[in-house]
Amino acid sequence: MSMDDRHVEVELRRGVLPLVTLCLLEEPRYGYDLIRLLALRGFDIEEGTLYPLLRRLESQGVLVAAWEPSAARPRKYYSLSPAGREARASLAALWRRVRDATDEIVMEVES
Amino acid sequence: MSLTSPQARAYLERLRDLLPASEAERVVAEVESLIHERVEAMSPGIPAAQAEERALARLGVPEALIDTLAEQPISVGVSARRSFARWWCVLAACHLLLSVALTMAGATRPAVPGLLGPLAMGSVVATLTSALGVLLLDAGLLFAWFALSGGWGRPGRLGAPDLPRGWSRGEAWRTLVLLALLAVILHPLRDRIFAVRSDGRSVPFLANDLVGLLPWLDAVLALVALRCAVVLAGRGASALAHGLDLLAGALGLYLLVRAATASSVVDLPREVLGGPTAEVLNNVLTRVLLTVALAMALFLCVGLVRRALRLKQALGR
Repeated sequence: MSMDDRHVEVELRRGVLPLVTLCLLEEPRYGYDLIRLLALRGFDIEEGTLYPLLRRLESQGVLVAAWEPSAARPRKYYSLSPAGREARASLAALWRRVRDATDEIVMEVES
Repeated sequence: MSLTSPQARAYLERLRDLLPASEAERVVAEVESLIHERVEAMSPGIPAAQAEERALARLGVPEALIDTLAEQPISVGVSARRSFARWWCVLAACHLLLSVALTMAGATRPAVPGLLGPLAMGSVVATLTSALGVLLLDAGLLFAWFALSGGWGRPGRLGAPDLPRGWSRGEAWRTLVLLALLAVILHPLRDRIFAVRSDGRSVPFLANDLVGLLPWLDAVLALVALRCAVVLAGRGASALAHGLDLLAGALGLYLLVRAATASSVVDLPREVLGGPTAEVLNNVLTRVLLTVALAMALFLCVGLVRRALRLKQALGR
């Protein structure tokens, strides 16, 4: 079976993007700042992908957002809400379970 | 600092156009902020327009962005639903207008069997039911079109029709000049322009029924002039300007229907042209004017729907 490695990688990264985003929002950040940080960590995503995610997380109450007027031009800063911290912990636990289960299967085959 | 390139402004305008009014301003402000942040992070040597273009490319096309903003997984995209709703308004308005025109013309048989015919006039219930039938028929036809050519999405060639935008000051001035010209033609010069000349005398040929509608036409022109004044006062895209435009359009449509149903629109003088010639010319001119009136009514009807949607959007801001 031939697989498009790039496509699989994009899908995997997209799947963990909410968790990674919540982890990077320990302190308030604006959109581009978040994109830059994600790119530094190997998640090269575009605004068209991140913005809908931020909006969805905000509407779910996971993130709180506020316009910061002190900059030269107002910027919208996103940060974790108390519910967001719980969601992050829950997602992190889920991620570890999936990762461990995957590792176990892959190692069985490789060993 | 606002966005400089026409592409960026058009992008935001398209987003505003596609989104529900309650969310439009918020999303547009956030997306504009994202574009600014990306542009600021680029090398200062890149021209602003080029930088904005690159930032837009990272956002994707407006329709795709709108669809990804939906809260729940959806089988029909938001842009497809809005496109459907807008086309339905336009299609149903034109269909109803044609049906009303056929009814007024006294047609007793459908013009296109199963698709277009006069409204039932037996009772109020019958009229309402046949009007409802028109709306449902159009919804069904449009649904079939979407399903066949676009799957669950929007057919490629059937984007949501653009809504009229605000007016520029230059456009407002040009319209005022045109209105003044029309007013001069309709009043001081009317009896000279719309007249038959013979043996040095000039005989007006517009029928009294048509001349009697001039105060209504004046009211339409006054409303358009008022809209221009609102634009010149610096409120180009305000709800007031759109409201005045909508009112002018509605009054114009009423005026056209009155003109099309008048007992006579032209009255060429028989004593000047001779009986048979005057009769033939009367018939020809009447038919030409009625055709023009119907075509204008169609345009106005579509325009009215677009204006009403724009007003709704402006009121929602």
